[in-house]
Amino acid sequence: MTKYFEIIDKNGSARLGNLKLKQNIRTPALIDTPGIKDFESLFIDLGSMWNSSNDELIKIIKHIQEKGSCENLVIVPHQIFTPTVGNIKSSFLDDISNSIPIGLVYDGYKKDNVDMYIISGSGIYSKNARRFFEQILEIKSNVPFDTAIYAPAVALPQNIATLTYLGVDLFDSTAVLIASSQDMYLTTYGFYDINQLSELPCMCQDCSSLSHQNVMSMTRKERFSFLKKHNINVIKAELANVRQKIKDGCLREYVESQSSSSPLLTSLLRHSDNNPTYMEKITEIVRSRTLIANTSDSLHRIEFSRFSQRTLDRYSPPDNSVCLILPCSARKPYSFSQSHQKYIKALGKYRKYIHEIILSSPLGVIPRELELTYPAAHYDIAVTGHWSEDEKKIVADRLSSYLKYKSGSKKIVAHVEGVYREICERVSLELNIDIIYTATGKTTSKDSLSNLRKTVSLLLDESSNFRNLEPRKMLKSIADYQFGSKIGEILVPNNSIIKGPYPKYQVYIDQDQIATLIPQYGILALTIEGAKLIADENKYTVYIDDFIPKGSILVPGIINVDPDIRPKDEVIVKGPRVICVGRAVMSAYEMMNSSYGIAVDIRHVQKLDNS
Amino acid sequence: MTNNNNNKSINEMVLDIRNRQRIKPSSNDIPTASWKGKDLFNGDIVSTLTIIFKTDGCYWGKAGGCTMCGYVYDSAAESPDDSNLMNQLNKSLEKLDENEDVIIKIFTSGSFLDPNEISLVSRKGILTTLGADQRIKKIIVETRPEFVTNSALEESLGYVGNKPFEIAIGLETSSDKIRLESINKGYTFNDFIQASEIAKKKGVTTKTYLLLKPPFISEGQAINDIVKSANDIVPYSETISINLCNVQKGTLVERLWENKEYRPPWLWSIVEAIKAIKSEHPDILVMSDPVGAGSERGPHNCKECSKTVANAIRTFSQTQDLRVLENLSCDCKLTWELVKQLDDLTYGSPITV
Repeated sequence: MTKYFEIIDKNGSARLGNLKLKQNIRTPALIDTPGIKDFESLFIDLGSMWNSSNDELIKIIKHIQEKGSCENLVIVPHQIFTPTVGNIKSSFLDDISNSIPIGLVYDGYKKDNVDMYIISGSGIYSKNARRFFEQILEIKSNVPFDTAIYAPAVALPQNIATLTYLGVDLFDSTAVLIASSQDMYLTTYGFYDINQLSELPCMCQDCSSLSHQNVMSMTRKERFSFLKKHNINVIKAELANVRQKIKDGCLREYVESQSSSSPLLTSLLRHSDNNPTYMEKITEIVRSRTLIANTSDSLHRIEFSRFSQRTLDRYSPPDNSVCLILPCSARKPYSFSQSHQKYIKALGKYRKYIHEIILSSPLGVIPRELELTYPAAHYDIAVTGHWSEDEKKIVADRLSSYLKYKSGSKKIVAHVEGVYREICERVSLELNIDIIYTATGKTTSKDSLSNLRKTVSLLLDESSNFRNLEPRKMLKSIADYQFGSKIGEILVPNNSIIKGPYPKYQVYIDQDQIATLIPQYGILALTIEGAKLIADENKYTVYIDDFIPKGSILVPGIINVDPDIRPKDEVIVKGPRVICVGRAVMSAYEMMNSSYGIAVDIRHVQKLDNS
Repeated sequence: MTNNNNNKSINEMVLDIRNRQRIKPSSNDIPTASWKGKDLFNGDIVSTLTIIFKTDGCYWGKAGGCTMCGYVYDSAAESPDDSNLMNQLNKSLEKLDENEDVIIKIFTSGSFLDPNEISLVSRKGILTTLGADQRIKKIIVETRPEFVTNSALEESLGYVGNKPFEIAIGLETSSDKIRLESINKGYTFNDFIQASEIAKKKGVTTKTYLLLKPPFISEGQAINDIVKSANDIVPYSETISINLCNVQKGTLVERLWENKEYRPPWLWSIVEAIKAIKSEHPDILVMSDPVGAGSERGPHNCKECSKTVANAIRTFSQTQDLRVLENLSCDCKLTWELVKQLDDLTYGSPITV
């Protein structure tokens, strides 16, 4: 947050903010464009250098300063060329007291004391999603995370959800007013020519009091004033909707459905998915809502690719000789499902000697030990048995990487049917490995299940006595997934004791509680003892100045952070005299690129005995 | 950073575009264009003959030059010699009837008084011919101000005899900021004032061209700029001719227009500007020929009213009667009024509806 802009809640790159002017403005919000020229309005443009002399501008600045008010945000004088030419100039920033809220047209550089940056040229990108995306991305990656971003002359009810998703906080009424003057009746999915409407598809007060006949008999001016009211109502309602989606943590799902109404919006979303670096850095590690993945764009969600990548980078499969591929189930965690219960029963005593992985669209490969971990137990998709070619490719690629890097010399058994089998066959061909198929039809049929049991029993050799499925292995895997490979060995060593009924596990070493599994997200919460155990690894650590934290860590107290930290990650906080554990509120990127705000919610604090 | 051409000056960008254009070879004995028209002269409507000489082209434009100017490509592929230029003149004069009174307007796509463009020999030849022709009542030549010198004017006046002689200067705006940084014209308002004062001392009148809506300037700023410019030049100019910026081939303005970063001015804007200027300065001649009006590349309102409004502007130019601009109306005026209000606040996204 800056002095005047505070981020209250986030969902990926989207933020729910509070701009503290004469009145508090909940962002994303709409600026009344015509008002910007008025020196009493919330946003005041000090003027353009194209048509105001330096003397005039200085006079205006003096006038504003003398009012001494921090109730309005002032936009620093600017001279703007359109994007083809670029070369934006602002001046007199230094002449404006830094105690008032300041907006600046982004010129490629961040400046001190700026509360809001303006994306120049945003209104003309309606035909060029790539340039628009690059422009937004560049600003977002260059300016402090906690400054407000204003995209002028572009907002329509249809596009604000997607633009907010990309990180825009402020919009204006320019495009809506122009559309209103051109007989356009706006909706969140496009617009109608009012003259073509036989009934009004809106029941707001302004619309429901009018019949089609009334509309037709209006003069252009009357129509404009009616359309203006309706259109502004619609965009304001949509902003409220978007704010709620951010709060609920499900803006992405809304954007996927809503952006399909326009090629520009779909393109923006896809450019963003194709360039996930920035978005990944600030996307939460877990969230409480079910992840709905129902569109082709859902396949490219960061949550899925992150899970897949982390499994490859951090997870160590058990050291036994058989790897069994199972299909996913609608019920999560998978092992609670009827089908998995049948597989488990069929495997019986052999189960503890094999390595189970679950094949799922669009997540890819889920090792059984991670089936509780977000998003493995938290997604929902439409199940029709028919997979798109894209879906098949993504899942096949993920299975292929997994088998290539993680299955070692294991014998691969696949108890799958239909498209799962098709994918296994593709991968077996691609990697030139043998896969033994055990299903003779439906995977849950008697024949299939007995074939599975028989096959597995024959494959296991006498020496394989590794007991895989004990809770310790599961918690160790989760610890690796969460904090990095090898951390599991420290947090959940062989002498640790796991207490509690599945899945409410607790890890103990010599009477000391080390960690608790949070069943809701499938990740671990550490105790101070746990934090101390892995403190020397310097993973997921926030380094703070010499103070004893209470409740939360604020950004100014932070000296350095592990760049891997994402919002909602379990983190260790280390200071010269203290060690704490808590839950990250910000990502590492935000912690290093913000000026204020809560970075970590602290759960436990312990002073270190340095004497 | 945000821009594609961060390290390029406007002039370099214009030059890049210029270098990609080709000048079509054509006969040097025929002018680029010549046509007859009507103009107001001492309260009467008289015929005009406009001649655009095909020359080597504007020295400023060849080195990059103005962001909206595509006239550079009207120049000759190979340098015309003095006899070519005389042939161009004679070809044009053939269009005149035997006994008609006419005002001659000479353009070169550059500067008539630039001796590198129109040699001193040609200058003498052309002006002497025009001076001797009884039908010709007044001669107007266009030039950049740096070529308006005592000696050039004395020499020219010597050739044309006692006929009224006028220089036409494309000042475009009295704002140095806009002229230098948006139009890239390369001279200052002071340069213009100096030229016009030299002219005045020699009894040469000045006609000033202003440009409505150079690139990067909003619709509202453009109107204000034209009105302010008109006020600023009244002491130095007998006639104000307002050009409405249009999208010419091979210009930076064209590139911007293609990228939806430029829209030619609304015709409502020139109507408003003329009303403001003419009522403030009833004695000054205010003219505007809305070239290309109604097309996407030219100044336009909506399809319904562009023609009517453009014609009203032409009628005004010939009558100087503000009444012809009253009672113009159309539904699109509502959008224009919004554009005028909002276009200032788009921060680099001109409203192009």
